[in-house]
Amino acid sequence: MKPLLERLKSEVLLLDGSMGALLQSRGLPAGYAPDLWNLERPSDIQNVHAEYVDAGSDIILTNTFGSSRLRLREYNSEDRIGEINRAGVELARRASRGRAYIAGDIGPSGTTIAPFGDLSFDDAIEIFREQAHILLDAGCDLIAIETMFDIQEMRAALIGVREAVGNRIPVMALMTFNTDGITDSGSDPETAASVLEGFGVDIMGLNCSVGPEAMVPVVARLGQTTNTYIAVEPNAGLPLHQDGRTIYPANAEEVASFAPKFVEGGANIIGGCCGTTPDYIRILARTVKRIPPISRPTPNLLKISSRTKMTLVGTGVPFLIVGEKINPTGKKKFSEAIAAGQTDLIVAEARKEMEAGAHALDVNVGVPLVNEAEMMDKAVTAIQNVVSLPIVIDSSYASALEAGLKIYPGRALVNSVNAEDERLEEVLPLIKRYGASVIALVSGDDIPEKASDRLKNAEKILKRALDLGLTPRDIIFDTLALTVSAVQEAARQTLETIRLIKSELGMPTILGLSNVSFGLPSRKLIHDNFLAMAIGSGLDAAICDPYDLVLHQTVSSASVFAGRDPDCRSYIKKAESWAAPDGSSAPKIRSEPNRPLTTVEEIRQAIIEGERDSIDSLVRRALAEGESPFTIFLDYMTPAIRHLGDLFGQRVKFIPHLIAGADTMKKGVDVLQPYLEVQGPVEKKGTIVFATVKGDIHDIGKNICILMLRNFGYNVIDLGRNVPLETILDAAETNKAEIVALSALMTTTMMQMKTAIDTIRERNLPYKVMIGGAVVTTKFSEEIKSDGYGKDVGEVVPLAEKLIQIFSKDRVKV
Amino acid sequence: MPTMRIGTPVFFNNIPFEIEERQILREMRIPRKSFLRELDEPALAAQIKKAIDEGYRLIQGKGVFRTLTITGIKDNCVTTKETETLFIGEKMLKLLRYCDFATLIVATIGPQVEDRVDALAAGEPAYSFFLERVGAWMADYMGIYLDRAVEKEIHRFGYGRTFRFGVGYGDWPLSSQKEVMALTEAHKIHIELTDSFIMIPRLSVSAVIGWERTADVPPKNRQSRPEPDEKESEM
Repeated sequence: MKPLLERLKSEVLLLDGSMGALLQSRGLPAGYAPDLWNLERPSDIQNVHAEYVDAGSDIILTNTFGSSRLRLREYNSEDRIGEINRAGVELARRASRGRAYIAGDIGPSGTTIAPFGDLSFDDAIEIFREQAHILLDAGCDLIAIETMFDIQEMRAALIGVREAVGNRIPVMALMTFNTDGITDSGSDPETAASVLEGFGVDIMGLNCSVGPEAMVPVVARLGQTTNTYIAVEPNAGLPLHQDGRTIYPANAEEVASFAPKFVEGGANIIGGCCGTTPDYIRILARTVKRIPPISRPTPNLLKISSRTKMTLVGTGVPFLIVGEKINPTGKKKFSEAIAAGQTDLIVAEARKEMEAGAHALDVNVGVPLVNEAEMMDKAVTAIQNVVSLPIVIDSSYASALEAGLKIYPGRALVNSVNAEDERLEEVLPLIKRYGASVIALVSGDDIPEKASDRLKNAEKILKRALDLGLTPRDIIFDTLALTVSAVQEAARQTLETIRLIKSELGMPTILGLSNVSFGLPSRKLIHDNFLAMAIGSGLDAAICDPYDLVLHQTVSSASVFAGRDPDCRSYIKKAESWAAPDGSSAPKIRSEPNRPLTTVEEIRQAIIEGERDSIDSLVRRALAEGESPFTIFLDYMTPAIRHLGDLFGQRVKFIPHLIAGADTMKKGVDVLQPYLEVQGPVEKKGTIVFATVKGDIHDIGKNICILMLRNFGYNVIDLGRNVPLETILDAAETNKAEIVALSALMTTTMMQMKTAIDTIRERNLPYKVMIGGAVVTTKFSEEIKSDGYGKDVGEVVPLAEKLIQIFSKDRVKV
Repeated sequence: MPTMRIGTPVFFNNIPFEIEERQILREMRIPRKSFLRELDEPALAAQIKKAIDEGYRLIQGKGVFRTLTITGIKDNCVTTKETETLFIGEKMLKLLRYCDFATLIVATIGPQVEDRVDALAAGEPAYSFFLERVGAWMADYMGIYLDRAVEKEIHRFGYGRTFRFGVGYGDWPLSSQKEVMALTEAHKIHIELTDSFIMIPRLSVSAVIGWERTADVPPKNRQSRPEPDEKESEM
């Protein structure tokens, strides 16, 4: 047969359909591994293959979808992995008799891969490598990795398969997308394609999970983003479960009717997945065999991606801003955190850079004496949990680069390689193995002065990369921004290098920007201007400070001139946000009084608005101005918090406002306290013993209620959570409490409230009992005969006031 | 054809997440606001933003699900191959009566948020509250993340889903937590139980989702809306 990839240049080929459904019709029990039939019922397997070949399949998948060691372990058959896979290839070959290509089929491992899941990335690679090796030795014509839900698992599979088969046979990689066009792990078609391209797959595509209709837009998006051959295998519609069987509702004609749309979108291979049979392939053959594949030229740009987001780098697309802030150089706290193995500052910086408008994040965790590989693993894992931007893995150590590349579920950019032989041999194989891309510094043993010599280094790196199987789309050149104050000519050579690399190699360029301005005052001015000149020379990306607004403005305005912003749309949109940095269309108009507020009025306002940071100084200022502490407390603070309570009651303000106000007041009272107590201890309004009941460990609501009560002058004894009844009663007696306040969150623990109330009544104790908590209701409160129930923090003070009054009346009666 | 992951726990470490301002404002019961910048009190907005930023640093989402094969109904209990005592009560019978499988899910944001909340409780009660609300929503978020993963699996095999029923809700006793934790091997994601069956970390959720034979479910019994998980919103 003509080589598969040759035929794909001019023909649309057909895959086969479902194996499982046909085996079930031959008696395969539900839950039994179909792969075991390669040994137990070989003629059935061979017959199914033959039916598909007779129906018109050009490629058939071996019955080895679940024949990895891990999957066979579920059936205690892992020791038969060789036999099962070899038999799978042999049976397909016998059925094909030279009429169809044999694709050694590899399915997912059945578990989740690190960093997302439990199976280590290295173990996953080994599992796939082992199976691919057996399939290759058995003589399959290509490897098909299919039904992958998770891009990280696909990465492991591709590494394992490439290690086993090299470039000896083609590799097809099919992801599974849901009806929303996204994989389970959150990758859209463009992102998945960028990762698969990085590994140099020969055919990419999608199969399973959804019917043909949902696959049409995914095929079209793949067709627009890649010129790799595309395969598509839809299910026969979305399945239904009926009478103990899975039913696929779309018939063969319906599925085949989508074939022209697949081809129009760019598909080169079409087949069927769950629910499809030889009949489907027969009808597909009639439709597809008449249609030639379309040609799909796509822009020759560098693609980098996270798990969920792909970004293009190169001419004609938006300039790439790589945030430089995740780097311990010159940052003491950052370095200490890294040395301690902590990632929280890294995560905070990553979020901040993303919010500031970075498009990708450079991650450097190089601190002396730190295991950089271990730390890179941690940092990349933590960042990819909370940031969707692509990552640039930055280290001098190959081990750290590899650790980051393993764990990163996307197509990373590596920073960096240069023209030194040792570095080339150390880094480029990693780029190849992990399907990544690389920043190539145009330096060698030293930094050439002249642009023409820098170009020579670029050519050397490119040649070596191509020799190792990389492509020009895997590399971006750093033309080296040197300190202009030291060597003024160097900056001009840098700009010239950008132009040369564009014109001679047609490849993208990047600069680490901050170096250029060392030693000069107003450094931002220098590097922002240099950046504009570099963009004018064709620069595509910069590693720079994303917090610099002027830098963003420079990039936007320079991009208008550099042909990166059609119709200036992006510039105009961004200019609006520069006018109103919070993103709002117009500044908020706040109703301010006509005259300036006095200090005590400011105190009142601060409490109402929860301005906790200003209250301390305001109270001190009021005292310095001669205000009485009692006046501040009674005439301004207390009315402020009451007013806030009223606004809460009117649903103008809400619980967070109330809490922020109470917290602000507390801080103010803390300042006042010594002054208030000058005339003796301040009399409290009453004593409340407050606890979360036994068995319950939730106390956030209790703490907030206590804050409110203390602000209103109550003496609150906070017993904490999970408090035994006797401890509560002892505290009430010791402190001569008027009220026992109980909180509970759980239905199982709220009955402790009843026990408490019953005990207090049985012992004829004087305390009033108030209750609250998420599960407590008025009805429950009435049933257990509590003295009062507060549905939220807004009710706790009025309720306490009411109960204190009742308590006092009761005492008078006694 | 993907294979059903039946009978063994499937673990998720490092669940990716985003803390949406809209959800946090909802969790704090501030109505009609989707973004912090819409609040009229900049100081309050800044406090909540700080809590969100700290959430990003402290949260580590983990989860596990395990799908059990339903074998029948015995007395007041839906039985599975693995247990005859877990799914007890009228609510469970109602939830799982048309189901072939039931998937237990357990998810957590880890201990760091609540450790910090506890540490702040005395000195910074308001901020402690804001951070706790961030944690409470994010525990739900992790539960929803697993819910969506299970839902995709359910639909992939031609089943419909029931709503997500939290352990301890209705007449499903909280003491069932013990068996849920054991079956899901939740200790591997560092979740333990107190004597009163509360999960530690507190900011964790546990629930069950049924795999419903859609064709068998009378239209009036079809569920379309998930029920909220157990979450904290005490007085």
